Amino acid sequence: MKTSIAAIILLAVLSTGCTEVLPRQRGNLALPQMGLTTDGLEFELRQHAFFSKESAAGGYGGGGGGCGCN
Amino acid sequence: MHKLYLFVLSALLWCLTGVMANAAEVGQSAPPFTLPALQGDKTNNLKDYQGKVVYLDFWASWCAPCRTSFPLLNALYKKYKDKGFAVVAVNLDEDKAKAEKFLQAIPVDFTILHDASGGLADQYVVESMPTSFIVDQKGVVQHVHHGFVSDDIKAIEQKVTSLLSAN
Repeated sequence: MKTSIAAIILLAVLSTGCTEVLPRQRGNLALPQMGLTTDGLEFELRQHAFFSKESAAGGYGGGGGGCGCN
Repeated sequence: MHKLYLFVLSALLWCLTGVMANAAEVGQSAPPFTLPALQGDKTNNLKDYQGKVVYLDFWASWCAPCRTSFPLLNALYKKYKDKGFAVVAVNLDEDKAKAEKFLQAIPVDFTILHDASGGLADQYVVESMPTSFIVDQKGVVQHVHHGFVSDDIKAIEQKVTSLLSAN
């Protein structure tokens, strides 16, 4: 009984971290320093080299970054 | 233990059901607004534009496709403004200075308004940045456009001219 209550309280407290970010609120995500890679062209080069070596690709996100544009 | 599982499951399902009523779909009346201009203190109303075809664009300074769209929209505005076409661009930046800096780099002739709280954007349901709505002369939304690539201007021009010639 006590562990159930503790679990419920923990779930309630942790779920406050879950929040909805609207597309119009993603200004900070669009900053250059928030990009997943520093240089787009360099990343493309690495992706291509990876594909050549591994004969496989993928595992990383698609284009557009986190800003919700397009 | 059963009760806990049920609780967790229902909590998760509740989180997933984030249904938003789409308030500005094609064929519906455009939600009315009263917003201040970004620069200056004039207030604009949707009613001011009744009788005109309005391209209502929700944009922000950090949105890269908006940089592409502004010069193209400005050219379109200048081409058709005498025929009853208006462009109203609602800025959604929390910091006005960033929007003003954007406009210094890309000056335009059309109306720029500022929606500081984002309330109007939520009414219209802005699902991507930018999102634009083409509203006809009677205030009915005729087209919703998500995102922007430079080729989109052709389709937009077609839609605008067909609405202008229909009346």
